[in-house]
Amino acid sequence: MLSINDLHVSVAGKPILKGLTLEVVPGEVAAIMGPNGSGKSTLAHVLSGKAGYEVTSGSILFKGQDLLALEAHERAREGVFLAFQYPVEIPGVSNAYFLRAAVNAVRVHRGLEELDAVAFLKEMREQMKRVKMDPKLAKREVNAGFSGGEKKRNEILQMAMLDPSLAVLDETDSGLDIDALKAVSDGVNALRGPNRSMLVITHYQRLLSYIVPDKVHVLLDGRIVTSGGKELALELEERGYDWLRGDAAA
Amino acid sequence: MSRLTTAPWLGALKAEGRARFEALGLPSTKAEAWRYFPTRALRGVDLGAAGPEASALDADHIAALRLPGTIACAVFVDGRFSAERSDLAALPAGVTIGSLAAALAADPERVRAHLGAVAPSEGAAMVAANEAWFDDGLWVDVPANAAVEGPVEVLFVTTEAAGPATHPRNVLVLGRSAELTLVFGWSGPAGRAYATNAVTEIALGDNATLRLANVEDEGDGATHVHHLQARQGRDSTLKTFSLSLGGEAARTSVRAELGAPGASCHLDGLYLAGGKQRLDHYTEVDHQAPHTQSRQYYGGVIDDRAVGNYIGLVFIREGASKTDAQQLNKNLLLAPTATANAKPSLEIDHDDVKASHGTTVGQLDEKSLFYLLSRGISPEDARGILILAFAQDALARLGEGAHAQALVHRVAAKLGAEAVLEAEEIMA
Repeated sequence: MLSINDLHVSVAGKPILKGLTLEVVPGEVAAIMGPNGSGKSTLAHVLSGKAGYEVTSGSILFKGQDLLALEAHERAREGVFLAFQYPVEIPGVSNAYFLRAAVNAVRVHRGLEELDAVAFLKEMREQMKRVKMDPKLAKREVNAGFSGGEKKRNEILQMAMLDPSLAVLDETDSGLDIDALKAVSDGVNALRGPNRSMLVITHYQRLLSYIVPDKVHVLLDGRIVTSGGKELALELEERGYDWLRGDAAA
Repeated sequence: MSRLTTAPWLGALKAEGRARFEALGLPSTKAEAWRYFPTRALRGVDLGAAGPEASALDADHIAALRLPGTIACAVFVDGRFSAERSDLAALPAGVTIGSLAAALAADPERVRAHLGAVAPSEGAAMVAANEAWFDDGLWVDVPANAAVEGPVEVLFVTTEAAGPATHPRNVLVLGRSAELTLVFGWSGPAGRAYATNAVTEIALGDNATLRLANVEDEGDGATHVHHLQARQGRDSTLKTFSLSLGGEAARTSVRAELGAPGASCHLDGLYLAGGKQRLDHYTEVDHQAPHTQSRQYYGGVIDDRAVGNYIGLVFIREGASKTDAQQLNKNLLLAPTATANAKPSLEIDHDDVKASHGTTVGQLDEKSLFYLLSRGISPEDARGILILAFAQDALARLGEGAHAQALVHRVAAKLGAEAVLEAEEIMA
């Protein structure tokens, strides 16, 4: 599904990712854990095609194709989805309009018919129920005035509607209370399947009790320094990251 | 040759306008109010040259200009009222909407009370030029307690046959508790240099309401100058929306005099400037009495090498207690070569008032654009969505009705975002 090989990325001339190699197979939920400044968000942004990140060497293959050759909107249409750490507020644009425009852009690219307004709204209402989102938020402006939990539920709603094959969740748990975290996790878990992979980027182990990963990778100073099963997250929770720093320097 | 009545008072008024214009000359950018507006295109133009005696205009041309949802339409061709192109049958009895020249012939004293009185030409060169050379314009007389239901459209069309400049003079008189919605539409031929120099005087009686959407969509070689000035009675409401789309250089100025308690005005607008257009808005709100309220919102979308300007002055005079004034101007620059000049200002001579002003000049928000792109929306649509959302902030102030909706569509079309608008409407 996703194959990252020796990836080096700089931001404003400063190297952030320094030889990151990672393999995610179809259906796998992989957690990326790491301290602040280790390059977690950079990885999420580079995968989604955000401007301002310079790939100096290395490659990313997504379903066998060169992901870096695609524009941000093309990646989304091909099936990459980024759940934002800080979802953007877009005043003047309704949530329902925005999401229908996105869904139809993706559908057309995949050779499906556009959803008309009625079919779209029916689908949207069903998916909103699954993430326990207030149906009134459909008509509201995108994320404008949403609480932190509502914004994150809105991200998961978009993910459900866009049906990606690779979902990248960038610190989806940070700042959420336990109810919102459960709702978001339930939404994510419902979307797990053999044809969908997920990259769950997080600072805290707590999320991984709700979204149980198949694999845990530790990102430190721009590289994956160790990988393991879900028990590695617990170990990191107890011991922190310092014991791994020797490996990073080596 | 003027068709106007030769009443001595009118002759004197016009002679005074001419003398004032000759003394003042064209406004220069040294004057604060005109600092961003190029009047050089008017230099050497014979502003007083007589227009054609009669201009022909197809009925189809008017039909294509008309907005849906309007109940009547007055048409001015090359500055003169065209009875045969107008359609005023639906107006209620007692309400007069038509030609100023005709009103001057029929009831000169009625007109005299307002003409040149609401917008004096003293110190105002372009108003003086209009006073000197107008020979017709819109006359509106709505008696007390009369409400015209539905918007009335007024089309000012310049044709190929027009002289170098037309000077429509519009005089609008609304009696006590009268109510009217007007839509002005300014248009002219493409690829031709011509000038429009209009003045609109508005006398609002106590508790009267006037809504006026002014749509400037002149030809691409036009220099358009339009000054609106209102004198407002107690508890009266003035709502103007100045939409600027066309012209090579176009300026719409509004002065509202809130001279009696409870009077309020909403001066709003939107300008879409592209190419090398220069679109100018100037406002003055004069709070002279207590409990007066003003709201202003002007939005500008500026592309290419165009320049969009907003200068807004709010005066709060001594004794104008409990005045509440808000003034906001927001600009969206779509190209690095586009320019916005924004100058809001407040002059407050009284305590115990609320007043705020603000201005922003920015580009499309990169974070918002990326958010849309990351969901699969194309770069063109993403831009269209955000530009339209910006414009809609201003357009929300246009009010209700099919005519307003049609204007929103015209704006969306000019922004290349009509498909976006249609899809938004489906989901609304």
